[in-house]
Amino acid sequence: MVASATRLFEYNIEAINELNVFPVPDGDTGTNMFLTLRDVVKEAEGVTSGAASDVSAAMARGALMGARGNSGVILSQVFKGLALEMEGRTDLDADHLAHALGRARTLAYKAVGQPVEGTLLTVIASAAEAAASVAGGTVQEVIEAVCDAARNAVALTPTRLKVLRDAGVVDAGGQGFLVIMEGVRRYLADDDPVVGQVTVPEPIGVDVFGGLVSEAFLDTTDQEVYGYCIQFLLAGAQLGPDAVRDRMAESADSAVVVGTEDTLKVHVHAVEPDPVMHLARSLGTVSEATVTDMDEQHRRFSAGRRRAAEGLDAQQEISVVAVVWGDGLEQVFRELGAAAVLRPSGLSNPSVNDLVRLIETVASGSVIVLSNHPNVLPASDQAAGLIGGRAHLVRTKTMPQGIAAMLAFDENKSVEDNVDAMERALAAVKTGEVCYAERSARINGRSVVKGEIIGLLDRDLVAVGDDPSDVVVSLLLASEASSGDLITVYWGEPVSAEAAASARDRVLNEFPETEVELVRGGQPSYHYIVSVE
Amino acid sequence: MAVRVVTDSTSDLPPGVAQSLGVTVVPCYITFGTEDLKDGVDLSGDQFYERLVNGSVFPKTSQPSVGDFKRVYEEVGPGSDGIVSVHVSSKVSGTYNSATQAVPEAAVDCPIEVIDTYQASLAVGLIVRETARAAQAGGDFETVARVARDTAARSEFVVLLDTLEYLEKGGRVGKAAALLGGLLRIRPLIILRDGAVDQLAKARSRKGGIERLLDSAREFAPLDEVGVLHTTTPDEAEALSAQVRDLVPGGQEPLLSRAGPTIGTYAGPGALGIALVRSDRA
Repeated sequence: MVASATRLFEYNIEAINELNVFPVPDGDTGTNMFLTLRDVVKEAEGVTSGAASDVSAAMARGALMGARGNSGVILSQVFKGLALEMEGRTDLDADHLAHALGRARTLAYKAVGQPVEGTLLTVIASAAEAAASVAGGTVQEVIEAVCDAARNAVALTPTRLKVLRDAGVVDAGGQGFLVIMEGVRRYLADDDPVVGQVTVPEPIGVDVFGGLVSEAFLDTTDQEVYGYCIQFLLAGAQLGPDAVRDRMAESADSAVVVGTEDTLKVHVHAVEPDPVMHLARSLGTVSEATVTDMDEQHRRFSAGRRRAAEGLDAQQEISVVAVVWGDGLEQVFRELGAAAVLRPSGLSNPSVNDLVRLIETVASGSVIVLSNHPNVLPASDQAAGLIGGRAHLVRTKTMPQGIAAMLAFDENKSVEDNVDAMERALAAVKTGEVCYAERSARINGRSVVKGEIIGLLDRDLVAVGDDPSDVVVSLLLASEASSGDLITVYWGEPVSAEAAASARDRVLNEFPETEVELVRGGQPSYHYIVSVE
Repeated sequence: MAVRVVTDSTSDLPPGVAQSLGVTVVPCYITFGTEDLKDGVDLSGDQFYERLVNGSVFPKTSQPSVGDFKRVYEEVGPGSDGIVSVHVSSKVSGTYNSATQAVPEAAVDCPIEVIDTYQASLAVGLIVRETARAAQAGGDFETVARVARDTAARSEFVVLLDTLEYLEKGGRVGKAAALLGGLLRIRPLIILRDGAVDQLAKARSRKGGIERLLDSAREFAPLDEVGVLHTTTPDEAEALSAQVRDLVPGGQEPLLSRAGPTIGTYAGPGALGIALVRSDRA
C-alpha cells in the first residue's frame, strides 16, 4: 500500500518541487518527501512477520532514519502515529486508522518548534478530522474522506499562509501528503491506475495563478538570506526531543526534532552551520550530518523557474557536491560554489548511502561529485552508479585537488567539458599532508616510529621529523615547490594559529620566490595540508 | 572634411594614438573628496595610482556631461560629413546616455551616430582605432559608422584583477560578487559579456592568472587586432604583449596602454587586460 503510494509519489516529485516556497523557496520538498518514503518502504520490506504492528514499527523506523527536510521529518510523525496505534495489533481497521491520524496530528505539531498553519501540518490536521468523522465506516471510506479533506485543505493553504498567496501556489508539503493519500486510495480502490500525475488543487485566495511560483515572488526573494539547512542524527543525547528543540532554537530556526532519547532526527535552518554543529556535538553523538546551502539552492531554483518560463530546460543545471573534512575547508568549498558538502565526523569515510543522500540533496540535472580521498572513491563510484547518469565523478584524492577542481568549474559549460577541465586542474596540484604516524613501520626505506610526525607527498612518505613545521618544509623541498607559483598551507585541528603563522613564515623564508597563503582548514588529525600549484 | 570620430576617456587609447588618428577624447571626471579632476587632463597615471592605493579617500568617477558632449560635437561638427561617437557600454556607465542626449542639443548640421560598444576600456580603444582608420581612409558617414558597429560586435575584453576590492568599492562588481571576501585569495578573470561585468574564471596565483588570461585570448583566435592593458605593472604588460603578438596574423605590434584613472578606479593596482577584435575570416 505504502509502496504503491511511493510509486505514485515518484511521478509527482517535480510537480511538488515546483510549488516549494516555504520556509525556503528551494524546490526540494518533493524530493525530500520521496526520499523519506523510499526509506519507509525499504524498512517495511525487510519485515518478514507480516503483522501490522511489526510492519508499521519498521515503517516508523525507516521514516525517522530517512527523514529529509522539514516536510520529511513531519511526514515521519505520520508513520510514528500509525506505529503507536498499531502496537500489538495484527490488522488495520477504520477506527485505528482514524486514531492513528489523530496521533499523527498531535505528534507533527509537537515536532515543530513553532507550528505554522497553511502547511503540511494543516493538511494532516484536516485529514485527521475527516477520518474521525466517518467512524464506523470501512478503511476505504476513511481514506476517501481523508483524500477529499486533504484536497480541500491543500487548496485553502494560501488563505492561511501569506507567502503562498504572494507566490500564487498551494503548499508543497500539503500537496505531497495529498499525493500519498491518493496513492493509498488508488491502491485500495484497485480500479485506478496507481501511476500518473495527481492534479494540484487550484489555490484559493490568490490573485495570480499559473500553477507555478510567480516571477514577481521570485524577484522579491532574491535578496533574502536563507542560510543553511542542517540535518543530522543525534544519539545518546540524554535529552528528549522537546529539550533538544529548545536548545537548537538558541542558534537556529525552523527546528524540527523527532525520535526517542536513543536517536533523534534533527532538522534546522541557521545562518551559520558551525554554532549548530558545535551545540549538537555537546549534546551527544552526531552522525549522518548533511549541510545544504539554501541560498545556493534558492538561487538555482529561481534560475531554473525563470529559465523554465523562458522555455529552457532546468535540467541543464550543473552542481558540484563534495566530501570534506574540517570546517575551514568546508567553508572554502562552499565559497567556491559547492552546492552541498558532506562533512563526516572525525576522519571517518562516508557510506554509499551518505553519498547517495549527498547527491540527492541537489536537484540539478547533473551533479559532479568530488570525493577528495582515495578511500571514498569506491563508495562514490557505487553511489554514482545507484543514482544513474545524473552523477559524474571527478576523482579527486585530496582536498587541494578538490579545490583546484572547484576553481576550474564553470556552470556555463557542459558537464563533459567541466569534468574534463576539472580533471586537468586536479592533475596540476601536488598535495602534502603532515600528521602523526599511527604506528611504527618501515616505508620507502625509512623507519618511522609511532608518534613521529610524517610528511606525505601525494600519499607517499617523503619526510619524518619531530616538529610539524620542519616536516612541512622538508615536504615542500621534496615537492620542488620552488618551481610552483603558489603554496597554500591549510592548518588543522592539532595546531594553534600562532604555530601555523610561524610555519608560514618558515615557508616564506625557504621559498622567497613563491606566493604563500595560509588558510585555516580545521581538518582533524592532520597538522597541515599543503598544496603546490 | 571627412567623418570625425569622438570617444570618451574610458577608451584608454594612448594620447599619442588618439592624436595621430584625429580622434577627439571627451574626458570623464574623477573626484577625490571635493577635488574634481578631468581624466587624462588634470591627473597623470602615476599620481593617480599613488592616490588610489595610498590616499585616504576613494575616488568617484562620473561621465562627461551632456553639455561636454554638446560642446565637442559643435566643435568638430562644422565642415565634417558626420560624427561617429564611440562609447563604453551603457550597462556600466552613463557616458553613452550623456552622448545620446547631447545629439538633439548640439547645433550642428551633420549627422551624428552614437555607438554603444557594449565594451569597456582598451576594447573600446581598439574599436575607436578601427573607426578612425576608416574615417582617415575617406569612408563616408554610413561606412565609418558601420565599421564601428561591426568592430564592436567582434570585440572582447578580458581582465585579470589582482583583487576585486576596487570593482566592489566602485559598485561595478556585477556577477563576480560571489568571489568576494572568501577564505582563499582568488584573482578573478572578468569579461565584458553582453555589456556587463561577468566572471570568466578564477585563478589563485598571479602566474596562473596570467596563463589563464592568455588562454582566454587564444580561444578567440584568429584575431584582427589585439591590445594589452595594465594599471601598475608595465613590465608584465610588455611580457604579455610579446606573448599575444602571434595571435594576430602578420604579427603587428599589440596596442600597449595604461588604464586611465576612470578604468583604474575599478580595476585597481595590478590589473592586466587583453582587448581584442576577433577576425571575421574564421
